Amino acid sequence: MDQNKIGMFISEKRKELNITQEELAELMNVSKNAVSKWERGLNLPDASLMKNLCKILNISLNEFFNGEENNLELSELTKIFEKKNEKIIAVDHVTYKFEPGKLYAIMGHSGSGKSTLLNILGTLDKQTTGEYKINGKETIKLNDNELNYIRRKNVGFIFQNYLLDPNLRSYENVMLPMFVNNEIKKDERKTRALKLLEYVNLENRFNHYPKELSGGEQQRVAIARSLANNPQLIIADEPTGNLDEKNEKIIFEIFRKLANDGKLVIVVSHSDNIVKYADVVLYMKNGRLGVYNEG
Amino acid sequence: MKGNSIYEISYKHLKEKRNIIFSIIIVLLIIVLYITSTIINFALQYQNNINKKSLNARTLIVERGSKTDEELNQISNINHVVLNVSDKYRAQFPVSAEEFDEKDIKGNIVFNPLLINNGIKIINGRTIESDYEILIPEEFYPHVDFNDYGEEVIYLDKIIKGKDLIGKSIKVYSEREHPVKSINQSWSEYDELYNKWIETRTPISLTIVGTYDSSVNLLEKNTCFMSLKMFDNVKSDINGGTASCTQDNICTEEWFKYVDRMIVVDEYKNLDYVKNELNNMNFSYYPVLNFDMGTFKMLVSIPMCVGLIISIISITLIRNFIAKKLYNKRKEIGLLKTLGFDNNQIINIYSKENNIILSTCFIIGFIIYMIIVKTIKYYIYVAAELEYYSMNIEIPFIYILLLIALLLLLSNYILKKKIIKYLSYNVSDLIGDSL
Repeated sequence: MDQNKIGMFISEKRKELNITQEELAELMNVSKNAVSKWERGLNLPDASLMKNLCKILNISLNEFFNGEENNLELSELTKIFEKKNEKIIAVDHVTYKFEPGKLYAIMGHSGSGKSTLLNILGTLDKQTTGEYKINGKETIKLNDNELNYIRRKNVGFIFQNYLLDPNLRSYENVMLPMFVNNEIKKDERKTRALKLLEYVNLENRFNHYPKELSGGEQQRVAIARSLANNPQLIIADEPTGNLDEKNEKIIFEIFRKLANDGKLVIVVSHSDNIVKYADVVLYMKNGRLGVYNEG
Repeated sequence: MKGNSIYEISYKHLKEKRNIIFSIIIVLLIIVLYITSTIINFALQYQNNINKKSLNARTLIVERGSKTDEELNQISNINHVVLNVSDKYRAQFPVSAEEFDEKDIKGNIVFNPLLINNGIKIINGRTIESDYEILIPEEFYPHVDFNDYGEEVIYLDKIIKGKDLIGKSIKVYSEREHPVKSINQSWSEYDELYNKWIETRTPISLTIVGTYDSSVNLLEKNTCFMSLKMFDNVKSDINGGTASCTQDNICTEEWFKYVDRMIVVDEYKNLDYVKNELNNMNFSYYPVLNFDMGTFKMLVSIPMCVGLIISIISITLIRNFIAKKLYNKRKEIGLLKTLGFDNNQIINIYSKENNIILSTCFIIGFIIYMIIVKTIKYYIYVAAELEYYSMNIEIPFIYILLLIALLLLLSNYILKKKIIKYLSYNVSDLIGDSL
């Protein structure tokens, strides 16, 4: 827990709501000095005060402890592709708020805009119009380096064709994202990679190359890799598209486990089996997003 | 992989099959490029020797014909002529040097007169100051031997360091009193004369005072130098002879003396001028060394063209390989972007891979090239021309380093340009199949 980061987050959210330190202190029934100390990172609020503080600042406990907002917010998001003389509206005025600790399934026919939406959510692509905020930051205003940072710290990707490096062993593939994360010490990287493989039940295959693994195993390595930098958001685009039912079940169970552990997991899938595991099932048709099943 | 540096990713990519195939091709091209460069280097060195150092290259023999001594002496007045002497001084004085006899090989050396402008480079000791002093090669091989096929052979382990012989003496005998068998003389009469000469001849002791670099003047390693006067004393004036017999078995013989002139020009580049002047004075002449610079340059241009073609092929191959490789790796580039690698890190990973491959190819190519050149030089030395062995025909390593640096810079430029192009695409396009 980074007290400084939490302190800065409290200060930022307070200022967004146009509340002074004195006003916040009054609402919390504490001294102004106490609020000042929180914001300077010298102290953390007492456990009994945290819930109330989060309510006032309109943040979740999870976000409080991470020191940043932890959600994805879409507002009238639109993506238009222009090809020759044709305009294709892939995503059409989508407005939605994703929350952490949930597994979202996005379903729909081919060409409905699911993958495009997913690419925008993962900052692999930019919207044409509309707003997309990740942890409170508008992505359209971010430059390439800032987007790189977001991908590094906040997003884990899982692709249909796994995209493992064939020249690296399983644990080395999992270590890959850690090379650009200075917060993970160099001598801890291998250990961490092995732990992540254990999380996806592949501890016995840590030394194998991708060509020596089955499709399901490769996808599990890809999942472990996506967790390397402990991101809050996991995005999976047709992760079981190339797998059989048995392996599909294993993968979906892992996603369920991740959501239970507080991650925000978004899965695009053609498979109906995802419905059993998802908290929220969304449906895309002609670029529009609808809620099929929530809660 | 230990997880310490992004370059570990580069090292892991080295063992890809396409990298290995590419490396083999580049090594072969590099070896060919090195060899053509060596041929050019050798040719340029040879040309340089001809131009600046070789005495023979700038020597003409002017035939007396019907010219008198006075007319021949006029040649000295031609600009750039530095020596006008009897062609006797172009001959050599062979000597059986008993001092260098070994159980299975005889000592044999030859003497040249030390003329001005020989271009001799003294390595150890000093030059000749009296008539009883001589110079020997720094790498001295005082033998002439032949194998069963009649080919001249050189035993490398019998080359002597000339400086170790400074101060020592060699005995020679003048060939002026050497009996010459007349056609009308019987062999027993001749043998009697010869044996009498052996008994009564007086040896001349010559002291070694210095050594010279024989490769500079393209001379053989058993060629020594004595003073002009001593050469005149020991070398016979007879150049050769003919004999003819009639049907009645009456035989006559004729002995020829050295009557022509040896003309030495100051520099190779002035040779044509002197030839022109000799033509104007109605002299007949011929060069000692038949060296046609025009043909030589034409021949040198062949390896130059080959080298140029190989260079173009190498650069094109590198460029195409990089382009194809990066096209095939575009998904990998996209993946690295999704994982949060920035553009510089991605460029550095592939640059490192590229640099390791090319540097290794150059070094392996250089090692193989050195083995090939040393082997060729050895066989050239053993088979024929002694002096070529000591010539440094290998390309200096500094040029190799410059070539490596240049090609690495070029290939990195091509690589960076291609990667930047891919990095400008949407990440979703890179990892998808739309490209």
